Amino acid sequence: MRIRRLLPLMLALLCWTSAVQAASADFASSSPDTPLLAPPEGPVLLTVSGDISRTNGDGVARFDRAMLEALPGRTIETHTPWHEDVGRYRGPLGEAILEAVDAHGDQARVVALNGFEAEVPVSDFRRYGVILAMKRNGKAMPIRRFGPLFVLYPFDERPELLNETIRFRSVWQVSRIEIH
Amino acid sequence: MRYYPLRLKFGVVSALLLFVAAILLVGLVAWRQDSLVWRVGGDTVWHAYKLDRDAIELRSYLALNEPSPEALEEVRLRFELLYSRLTLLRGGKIADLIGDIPGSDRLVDEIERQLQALDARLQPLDGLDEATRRALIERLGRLSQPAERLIITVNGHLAEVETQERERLQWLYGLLLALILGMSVAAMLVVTFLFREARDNAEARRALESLSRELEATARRAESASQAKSEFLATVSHEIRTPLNGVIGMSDLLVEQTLPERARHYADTIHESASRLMELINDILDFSKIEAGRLELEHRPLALSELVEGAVSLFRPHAEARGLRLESVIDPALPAHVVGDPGRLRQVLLNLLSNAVKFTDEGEVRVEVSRDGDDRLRFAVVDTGCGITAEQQARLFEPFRQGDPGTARRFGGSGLGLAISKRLVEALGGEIGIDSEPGQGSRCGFWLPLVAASAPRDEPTSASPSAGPILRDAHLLVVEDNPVNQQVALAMLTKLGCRASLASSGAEALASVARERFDLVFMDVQMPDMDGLEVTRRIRSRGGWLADMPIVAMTAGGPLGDQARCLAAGMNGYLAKPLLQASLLKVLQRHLTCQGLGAAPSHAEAEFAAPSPALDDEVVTALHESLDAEALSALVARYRQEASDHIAALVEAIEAGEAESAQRLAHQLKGESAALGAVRVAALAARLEHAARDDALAGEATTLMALRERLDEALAALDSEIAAG
Repeated sequence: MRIRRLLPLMLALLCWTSAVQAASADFASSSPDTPLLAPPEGPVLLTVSGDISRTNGDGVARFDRAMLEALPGRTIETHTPWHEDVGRYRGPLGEAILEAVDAHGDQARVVALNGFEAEVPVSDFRRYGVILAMKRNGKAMPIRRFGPLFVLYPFDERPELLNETIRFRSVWQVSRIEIH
Repeated sequence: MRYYPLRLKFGVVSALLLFVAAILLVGLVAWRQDSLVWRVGGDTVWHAYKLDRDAIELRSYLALNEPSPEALEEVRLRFELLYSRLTLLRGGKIADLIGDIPGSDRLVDEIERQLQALDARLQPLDGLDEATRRALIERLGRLSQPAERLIITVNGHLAEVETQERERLQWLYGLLLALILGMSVAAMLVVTFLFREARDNAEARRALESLSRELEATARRAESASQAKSEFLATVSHEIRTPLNGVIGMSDLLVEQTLPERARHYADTIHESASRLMELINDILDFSKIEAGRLELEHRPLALSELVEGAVSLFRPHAEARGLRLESVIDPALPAHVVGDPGRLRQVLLNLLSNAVKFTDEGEVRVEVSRDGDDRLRFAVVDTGCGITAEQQARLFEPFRQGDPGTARRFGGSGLGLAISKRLVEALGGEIGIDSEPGQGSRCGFWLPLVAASAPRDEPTSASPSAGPILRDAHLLVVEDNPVNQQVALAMLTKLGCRASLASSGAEALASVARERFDLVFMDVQMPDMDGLEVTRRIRSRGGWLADMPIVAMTAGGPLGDQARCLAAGMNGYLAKPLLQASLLKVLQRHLTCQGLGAAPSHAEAEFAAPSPALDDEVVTALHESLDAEALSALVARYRQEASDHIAALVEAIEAGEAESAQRLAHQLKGESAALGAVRVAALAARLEHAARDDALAGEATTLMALRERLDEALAALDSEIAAG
């Protein structure tokens, strides 16, 4: 009984806090004077270009390893079609990167070091919690082993992802993302 | 369980089996298409190809670019990318596929060895010099050989597998097709069977329908044939009955005449034969009416003991003449009156009694009426006769069957009696049966639903049978078209002392009643110009005294004639032909007693034809019982004196025209005559009394003369009574 009586109150509180957060986020994004993105200090791992609002020079947003590690991320433990065993992958959420650059488009053209490129719908990032994996089992991934960045879908969580389309979108050796 | 033909079972079972097999096959095909080759074959070729290509590109890069630190970086990156291809070939499903392809494992190992060697060379490099570059180019060149081989091997394997798969799939598809074909055939078989069955069913139904239509038509034909037969029977019976009525009526009269011995014997024989014939015809007519469903039943209170006694007494003389005891036993627990149809009940009882008496040579015949439970009235006729076998019992109640063929020759009869009885009892809601053994006698009985009734009001039918004298001078009209029946009716009525006029058609009858006043009309129902019912309706519609005049129907329709229709038309009674004196008398007594006497004093032509009792037996018996011989003779002597005086005074009074004293004298005469049972004298006196009251004494001279004559007769009769004492 007590919980039921408290429930509306809690809901109201939740609504209020989320509304405040949304308002503050709007305020932050709508302020044009703020230096939007700090310039990278180390070697650039990822360059985001295209329809984005926050850059750190030349209309593109460059990220070094530290910047990427600072973004909200998560760990996915999963099999992939290209590995024999389960791997523990860690990296920033694709969505976090897009938010960091204030991307407006709904397609991301992901380009790899070897020239491979694939179109990934922006909605995929949110829907599946796709990360750009930087570490496998705690170790940074070298280029020869899918590094430095690997678009990773949670295959074990969502078995329906094991199909050709998603396999094609699972780009490794990522170096650039173009939002359009 | 219903029987299904093998064909259908086979069809259904094979269709099901084929269906299951097809499903399995489709599953197999789907599973086949999910095989490793299908899934990662393309990737494997792609990565092998890219490995080769990356190696070639790296080699040309090295060949084309001057050694520099940037170039070294680029070379390292490209090498990394090249190496990543190996990683792919070594991991996941692709590795599994490689493992499956013979020879490719070795090639990948070779590639790995080369790449590791390159890696070992490339790692420690600080700068890129010409020698290193050449060495690297040379090493990369060594890589391309196994890489190309790998592509070819994998491709070859894939081609082989694909061909095999295609063939296998084609085979599977073929099989699937065959299964589907088989399934279709089986389904077709089932459908064909069902269709044929449905067609057969429809045909059978049609056949059944037409059969039922035919049967219906046949039944209708049979029914109309039976109807026609019934009507024919009724018509023929009617036609036979008309002349027979003449025979019976005339012979009835003939028997009453004083005849020479031989002539009397002939007359008796004629009378008996005619009566038997009439019974037979009545039976047949009765039965045909029951069969035609035109049986109408009455439900009214009836006195049980009266009914049973009446039936028994009819047979008593006959039975006693043959030395049989005939008795009836009525359970005292039974109500005195029950509801039923007295006519039918009597008919059944008479039938059973007649059979019992007919087939019993010595011993007794007993009628038992008892109560069976709360709601059944049980009648049984028990005899000590010859009895019948069980086999005969079975067909006893069938029409036109008798115990055995000899019976008909020996005893006569139509063989319809028991069949009619059975149907009557069933119509009355009961059951009839017989219990008999040859030589042990029979017990033929029936039961009916028992409904007790309160005693009915006294009916005028209980009028004493000796009320003959009251009929004298009654003026009647006989409406009858048949000359024979006219003769019979007139002869009988005259004999009963009535004055009868004749009308031979409906129109004549209407004219007669308009002209004269009648005490009663006998109306033939079937007449050519206008039927009796219509004549009655017209008479009734005229109103006045005609509205109350008794009209009695005479029909040849047999005992089951349409009484209700007659009554509905306004008639008061009903008389079945042939006319018999007893029934005629009964009807006359009933209706004329109600009506009063001497209603038409102006037509006092006394016709004193036939002898009829001068004295009322009941009164005489009562006198005998209450007075001794002496007192009785004194009383008679006194009456002789008084009556003579009264008649003399009456003559004077009439001559003097003193109506009042004539009325008084007539009244006194009537009273004293009735007291002594001189009913005829009393009747004439009553007539004079009415005439005097109506001041119509002028035409009564003949009545006075008749009065004297009747008085003499009555006195003579009284004297002989006293003498007989």
